[in-house]
Amino acid sequence: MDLEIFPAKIVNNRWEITAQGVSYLSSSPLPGEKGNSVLYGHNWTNILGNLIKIKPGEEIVIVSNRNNKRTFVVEHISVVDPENTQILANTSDRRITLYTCSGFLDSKRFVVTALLKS
Amino acid sequence: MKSKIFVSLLILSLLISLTDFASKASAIEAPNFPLCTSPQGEVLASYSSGTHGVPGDSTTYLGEDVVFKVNENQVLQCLCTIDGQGIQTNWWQFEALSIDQIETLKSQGWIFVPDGSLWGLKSVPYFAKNAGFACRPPGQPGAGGEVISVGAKGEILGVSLAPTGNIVYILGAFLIGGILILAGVLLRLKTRKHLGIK
Repeated sequence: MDLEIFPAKIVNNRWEITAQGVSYLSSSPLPGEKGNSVLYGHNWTNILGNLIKIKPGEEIVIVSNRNNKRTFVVEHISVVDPENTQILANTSDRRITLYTCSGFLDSKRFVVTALLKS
Repeated sequence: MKSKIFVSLLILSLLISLTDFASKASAIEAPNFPLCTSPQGEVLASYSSGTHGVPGDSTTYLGEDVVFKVNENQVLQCLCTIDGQGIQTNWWQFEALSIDQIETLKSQGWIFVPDGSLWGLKSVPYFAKNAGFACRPPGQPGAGGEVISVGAKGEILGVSLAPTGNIVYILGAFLIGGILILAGVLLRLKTRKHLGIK
């Protein structure tokens, strides 16, 4: 799936989210920079609804507006409670954390962690 | 009739209150643990291969196992099998607990381990809890680079993860449906009353 990425931020404890594609938390590092770059999106079919099919070892490619490609390899997949914000903590490596809603009545978050391919 | 209904509701509310009081008396909150997807703490042990066990599980697993010391009372074990199955075990060296609190923890999925030394930990009781995740099998070509991270704790953003689903629409639909059903029932009752039908 090819999706456009839009910058977003948390305003008054509420996450901005776009219906046009994937949201990038602009307070986190850019994908490929040192640290944990956070991306998220609706679990709609045309956005991240199929994210639950991804498997460790598969690749996620992010292309910048300057046509720079960064390839990330999926390392971990987990399902967490919404209160588990530890997945957003910064790291010393270069990774992306991509998540969407899952579970009964969207009570969980499906989280994919991928590392920059060296 | 009305007095019977009132007494029944009163008894029911008393029972609910007693149950709530009892549950609060034995309530205990387990500490938070980091996730194996972004582990924290000093590495106590690291095995890139071998056979490993999981508390409460008689199966043995082949794969990579890394154990982190989160703090003096908490240890995080991250197992990734050769099949890509991940098991995170949270080890909690607890302070003195009442029997009710122990039973409460057990009902929440915590496994009581009488002696942690059998698992390479201190020779004291622990509670352990397992959670599954998917991982890239050890040895599979991948990103390389630094996987183990030392990150800040997760209160940096303070709020829960963004709701990215359709729950608002779903609940809205249920609410509208409920209102319409109630309106239909009330309308029917009113009509029956108007027509003198019992």
